[in-house]
Amino acid sequence: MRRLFKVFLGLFVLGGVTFFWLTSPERIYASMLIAHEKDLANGERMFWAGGCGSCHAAEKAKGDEKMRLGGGLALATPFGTFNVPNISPDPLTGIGGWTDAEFATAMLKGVSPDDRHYYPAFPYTSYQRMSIGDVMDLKGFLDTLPRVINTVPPHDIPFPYSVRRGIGLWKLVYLDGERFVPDPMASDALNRGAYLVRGPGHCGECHTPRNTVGGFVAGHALAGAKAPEGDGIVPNITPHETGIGGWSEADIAYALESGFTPEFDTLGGSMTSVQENMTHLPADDRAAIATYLKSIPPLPTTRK
Amino acid sequence: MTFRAISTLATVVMLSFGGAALAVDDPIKTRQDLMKGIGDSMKALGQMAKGEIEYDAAKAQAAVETIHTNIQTFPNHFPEGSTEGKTEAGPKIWTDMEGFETIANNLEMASADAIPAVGQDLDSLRGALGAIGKSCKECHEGYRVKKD
Repeated sequence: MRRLFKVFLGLFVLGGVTFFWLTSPERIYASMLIAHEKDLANGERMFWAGGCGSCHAAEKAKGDEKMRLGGGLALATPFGTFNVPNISPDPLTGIGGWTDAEFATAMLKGVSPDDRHYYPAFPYTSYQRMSIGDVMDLKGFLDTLPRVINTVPPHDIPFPYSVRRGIGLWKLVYLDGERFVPDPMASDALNRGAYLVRGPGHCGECHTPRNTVGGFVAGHALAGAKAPEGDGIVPNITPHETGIGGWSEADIAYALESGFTPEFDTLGGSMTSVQENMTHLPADDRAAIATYLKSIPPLPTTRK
Repeated sequence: MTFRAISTLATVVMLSFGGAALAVDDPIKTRQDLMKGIGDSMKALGQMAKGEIEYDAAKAQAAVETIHTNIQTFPNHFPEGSTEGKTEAGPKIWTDMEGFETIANNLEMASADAIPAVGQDLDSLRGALGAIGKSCKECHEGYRVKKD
């Protein structure tokens, strides 16, 4: 009996150590960053492509208000309520005191400066595809934005999701750590579009269905999903007849520019804010997104 | 008046009352028909703006008039509880009816201004379309929940 207890204790400790080891947050250190002169114009482009203001600015913020990143928006999801943090350059309540390496760690590894895992409501599974240069440029641009003094309350997430260390296990399955690699056979526009859609633009975070633990369902990329909030749906944006197969590249680029679908309905819901971000991108980027979306495998709309 | 005439009249009266009653009974259908009229009009205007169909001043004005007429009664067809069935009306309509009605009023005004404008030339039409589209977008952002 005593021996059995020892065996169990041993297994328990071993399990704990293994869990601790497997789930330990990864970091990017300053020594891993290459010397880089920040290009603020490119940083601004990444800011609009990445849609930071759609979650980190006040609800329904329009125009310049979207550059006041004081956080505070409450995202009600099946996992609980996420209170979006302040990422304005305020050194006390925002991220003004962060180093470049800390910012890169957050964007590419989903880990905070105090070594905690971020919930994947922060779309680092897409941002990890970004180039370090673009991430640095984005940091440079964010540093120029207004300081907003606002302390955001902690997330309201019930057990077991409240155990942040558990996100480390989730990351083992759903965070592959791969940077975007252009396809040498594809055109520049196609590669640019693929980068924007899969990296900074993080389109799949809403348009790809998720399973019960919030991981992407394989084989359904961009084929539409349940809305993360409420009871609506997010449309299929693959070139299938149940998606946007009837749209031309020009239609897609026009929709991103104007907000109008080919039927002259408007894009709505949270896409309204995303579309308004897209108006700040150069026309070439919107066209590149369109080129890429027309090139991906057509998939029937996911009903999950 | 012959019996036949009276019975015909009675039938007509009954049918029209019946029709009205039906409209009251089915606010979802009523508001969807009104919105479809607005949608079809936007399509006609949009296609002219993009050059997909030829600019026609009279048709453009008729389209804007439909938008103007339909939006005036549109917010009246959202009684409490009319959320069952095939509808994309979002919950915010009932928690913020005032905001919902404000956007409808904005569209009513924008479309009133647009009636003469779209009759002038294609450039004026494009400008008016932007002003109208602003209301479309604003309402579809917060008050519509896409279901398919």
